[in-house]
Amino acid sequence: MARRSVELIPVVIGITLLTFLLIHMIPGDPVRVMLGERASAEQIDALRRDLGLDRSLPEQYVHYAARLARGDMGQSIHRHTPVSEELARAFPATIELTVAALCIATVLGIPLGVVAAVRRGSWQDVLGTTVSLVGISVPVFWLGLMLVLIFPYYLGWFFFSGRASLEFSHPTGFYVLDALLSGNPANLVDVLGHLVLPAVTLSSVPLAMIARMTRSSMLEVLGQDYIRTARAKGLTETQVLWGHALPNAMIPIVTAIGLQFGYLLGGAVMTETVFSIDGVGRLVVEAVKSRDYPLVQGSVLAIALAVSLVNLLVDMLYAWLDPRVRYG
Amino acid sequence: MAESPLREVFRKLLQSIPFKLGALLLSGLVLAALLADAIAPYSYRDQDLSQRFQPPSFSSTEPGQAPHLLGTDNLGRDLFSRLIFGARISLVVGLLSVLISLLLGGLLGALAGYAGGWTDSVISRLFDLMLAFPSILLAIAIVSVLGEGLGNVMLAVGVVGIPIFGRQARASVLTTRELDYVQAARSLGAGPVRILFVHVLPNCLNPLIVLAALGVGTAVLDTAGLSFLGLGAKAPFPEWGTILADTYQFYKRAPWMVAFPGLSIMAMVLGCNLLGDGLRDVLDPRMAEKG
Repeated sequence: MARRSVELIPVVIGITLLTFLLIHMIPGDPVRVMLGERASAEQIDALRRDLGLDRSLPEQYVHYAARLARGDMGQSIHRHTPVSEELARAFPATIELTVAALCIATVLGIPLGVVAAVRRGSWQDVLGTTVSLVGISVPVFWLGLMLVLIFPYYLGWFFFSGRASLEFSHPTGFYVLDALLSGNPANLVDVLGHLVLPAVTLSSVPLAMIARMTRSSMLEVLGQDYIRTARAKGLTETQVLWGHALPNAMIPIVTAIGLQFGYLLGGAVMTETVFSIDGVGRLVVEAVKSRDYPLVQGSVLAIALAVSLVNLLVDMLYAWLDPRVRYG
Repeated sequence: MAESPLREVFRKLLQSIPFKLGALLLSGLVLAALLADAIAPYSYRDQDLSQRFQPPSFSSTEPGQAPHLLGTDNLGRDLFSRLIFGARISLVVGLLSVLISLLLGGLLGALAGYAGGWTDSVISRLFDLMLAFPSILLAIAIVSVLGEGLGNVMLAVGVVGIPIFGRQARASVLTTRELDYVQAARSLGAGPVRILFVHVLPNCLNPLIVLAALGVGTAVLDTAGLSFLGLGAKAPFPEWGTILADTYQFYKRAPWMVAFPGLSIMAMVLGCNLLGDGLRDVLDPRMAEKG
């Protein structure tokens, strides 16, 4: 496990190197691109000094890495705030959204896959396969728009956009948690009513992936001798399925779930845009459009680091689920 | 008489339901894209403000004019015509970005697998690093460097696919280069370039073909997504994601303007995924078993 953690180090260095180079790959003078045509010579020089662009490339990287180590990700050019502050403000919304989407995908995807595997070739299997196929083919942003059209607009259920309509304090930034802390059930209903459509939208692809993986993993396990033994000793089908087959089929499923996190953070870009949620995804898009490169750099770095960290956690979970990995 | 391998593949493909469904869906879209000038009743850019927000209809609103089958948009443009021209853009962009991923990824991966040693280490680490970023985010980062526009989005989506094709090519080359017939070619004095391109690579193509079919779908989806975010094609260019971005603010007044562009994207992606699944079952049975 320690070795796996050490393997993360070159990846982290690589990620910082790539995000560092981002600003240097801009064709032309990045400072001019960022400040626009009307900037004065003094402004341009000041920003160039500020970003350290007047030094040699290796010097700049060392400077950048040293700053990152201190938690300093630079200043947003247009917002005039520290990038780390912007990220701290936006990340809770994104984490809340991705965790909710992953919960929906897992809770629906595993049973869907199990049923498809147990009743292989039946209409349930065909339905499950079709749902998976449509799930990976549907454009996430369009699904979000259609859900908005159907639910808030035609049926009057849930909300169009944002994270809450009621006013209450947000000490943690995680609105579900904040609503719970406020002690007022109305706040929680409000927050969940805002969260459900974006979370369902974002869950479409992971749900499809988890259902597919569960189906194939269960099919493999159900063909094993110990399942026949379990049936032969008189266990009910439910006991065989949930007690013997599913736990053994879990390892590839857990891996599939963990691997979805990277997708979810990417998909959050689309979902947050459709539902006007101020998360990291929307922050990146706005930063790209306003050519706020320190903000682009910081958000891309933060998301990539988060994905690498989750992958490490999944590997640890994997070892915990399967002792063969730990001792092998 | 024994069946030739190619005929056997075709026979199996024609028995595969996903392949047939995917091929049917895609051939419809390809045909529409090729014959767009003949099929589309209107131009994709001509505005007619007297015809704004017309709902889908089989009968024409003006005598002597073609009906607006899928309705019109906020500028009175015929949505059906715009979507048909859009199919052309999506197909071309999807195919070209996969070509970028396939050529660069395939070459780098093959080089890594065949050369081994530090070449392999450097290329493999580069692939790992690229895969550490969520694909759409990496594409956005590349677009932020190159600048907005459909061409740059296509390039970005292509670059993002490189490590996926690269890893597959590397894995296939690693197993193929140890096979007896390759050893035989080597002992007959064939050089490394000849061995790689004549003996090894042709036998690594199957999984890459499957990936390419699935990859076109992903590329279409990512391109539309980036255009939807306002980073790709610009109006009046009828790229499907751009159409959605331009019209979704009118969803209350004209829901068809939101529904049909999305359905078009989905049809194309679904077609690629079905085709890819069918190809995988036939060309790469080991991958198919893994689901």
